[in-house]
Amino acid sequence: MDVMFFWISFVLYFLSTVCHVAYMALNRERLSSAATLFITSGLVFQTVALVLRSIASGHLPLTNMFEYFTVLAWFAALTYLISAVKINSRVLEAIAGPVIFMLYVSASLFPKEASQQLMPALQSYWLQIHVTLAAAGEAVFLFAFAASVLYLLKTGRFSEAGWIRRFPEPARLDELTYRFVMVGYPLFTIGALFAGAVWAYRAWGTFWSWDPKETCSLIVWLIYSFYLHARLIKGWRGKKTAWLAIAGFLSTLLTFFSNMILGGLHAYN
Amino acid sequence: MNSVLRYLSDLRLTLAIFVMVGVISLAGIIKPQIFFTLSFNFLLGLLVLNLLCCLFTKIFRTLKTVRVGKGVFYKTGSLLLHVGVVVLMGGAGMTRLRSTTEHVELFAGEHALIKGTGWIVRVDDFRVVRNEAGDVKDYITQAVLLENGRVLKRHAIEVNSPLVYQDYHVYQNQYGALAERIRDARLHVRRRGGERSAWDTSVVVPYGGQVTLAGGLHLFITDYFCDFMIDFSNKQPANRSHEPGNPALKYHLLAQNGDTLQSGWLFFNHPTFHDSQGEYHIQAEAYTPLLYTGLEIRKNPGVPVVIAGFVLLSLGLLLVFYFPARRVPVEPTIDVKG
Repeated sequence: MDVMFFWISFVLYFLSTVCHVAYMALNRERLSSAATLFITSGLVFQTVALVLRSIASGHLPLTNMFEYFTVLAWFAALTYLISAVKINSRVLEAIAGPVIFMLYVSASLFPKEASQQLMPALQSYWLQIHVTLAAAGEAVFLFAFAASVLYLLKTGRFSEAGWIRRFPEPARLDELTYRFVMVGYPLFTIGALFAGAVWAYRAWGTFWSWDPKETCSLIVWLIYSFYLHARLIKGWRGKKTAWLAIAGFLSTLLTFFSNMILGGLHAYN
Repeated sequence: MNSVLRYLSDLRLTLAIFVMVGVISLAGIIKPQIFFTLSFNFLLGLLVLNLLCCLFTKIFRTLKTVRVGKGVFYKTGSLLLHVGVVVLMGGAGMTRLRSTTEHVELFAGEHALIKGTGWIVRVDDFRVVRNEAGDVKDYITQAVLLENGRVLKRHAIEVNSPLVYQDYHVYQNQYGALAERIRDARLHVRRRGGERSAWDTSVVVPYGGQVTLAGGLHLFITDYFCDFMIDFSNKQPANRSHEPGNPALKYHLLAQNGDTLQSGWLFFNHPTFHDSQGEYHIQAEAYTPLLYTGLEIRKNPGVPVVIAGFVLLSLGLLLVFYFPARRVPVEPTIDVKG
């Protein structure tokens, strides 16, 4: 039943992507509003899907790659709506929206069966704390990534192109990137690193095992730590910090796939 | 001396360490041994030194400028955050240098001495809990910690629920089954023949023990292989692996006077094999493996330090990033060039 709602939200996110792309091409505000409406509806159906799945399996849907990508997309869609209200940058939404859909496409590629029986190590409230906060942090990093991409386009060789001229001013985009990193960094640090370490200690007696996913998360953390130190103390702005934010998000993608390729403690299908 | 301190507290050094640790970590994804090399640990040590120098020369100085309402959350948070990293790394160092780990594998009723304590951990029971579909739901070791026969603590050890006593933790690590022995097996025995003489029954036969059937017959199990094969070098049965790929046991059916009526191998995955031989039809239905529990006994004096580091760091993060006035810049009070 939950998979049916997943596919409904999939279609809605796809429609939002079509509207976002059309908005970028045609510069019609109605298209952007329609895209936001589709994302909102997609989020509602996705929430229903997640609730139904939780009820059916008896646990929060955080235990395999399909569920993780779905939850990540849910947080990203939520961040989209919050930023639509608080920031109201249609261009930023038009970049982030299709990435949310791509997360959903990634989710759709994995087996969708809910595991009825959690393996003993996953039967812990730390699962909810660890995975939820990590996904929330990564979803916010996605928006820092989107703002940075816009910044580089805006200040790049084709900055005078018609559609790029509609982008917010570079200083505004730089500030937005920073704000998103500010929100995402504590979520990611506390969720992905600390909660994960405490849970590992509780389950196996060791805080850190240099498992591929742990190591990738450390790399993500180092990149954003570099970003914050360079920006706050060294006064870095502009392209250098934009590239750092992009590198941070791309490393986040590495965390998703490292355990699939290299296995380790985080290996699940 | 001042120039050394200035160099060690320079933010450029911090950034350089971030880059180097990041690059080495990237290589470590493929080759994890790199994390245990001297050079990597030297880098981590240098990061701690850099942070300590930074704290003493810059951040504490920054704090002197704190006034309520003038970036107090930001500055306090920044201090907590950086102190938290130092404490965390200190805890990690203690863990690396002073923690001990011991692995024991025990059957129910067995015990092991915990080195350096005089304590004994005894396993009273171990069981694997499965759901209706047969998937492992949990595995639980009923354990007792004893000192000179006196019970110090009892605990049902599960994954995520270790036995904790003072600074020792006993974790449920894994479990396994013996490859050449089982606890018991359920066999279905049917006597062929006419309506009056025929009978059939299912009996649980303990390994090494016997069960008496109708007519005074005795049923024994003497051998078991979890992954049966014939070793053609000596033409004897052997295990192909330690996984239960082809579990088989050898039974013996004896008459009341002790004469062997039937004997042979039964295969759990192929119950009809050897179906047609003898007056008695015997099939292997199920078996109970002889399970041992793998426990990990750890002593780690670094744990409270690591936890303290997490708490300080988390508080610092929340103060710096989520509290009002978080955007008060620190640049004017920090000499970034040293």
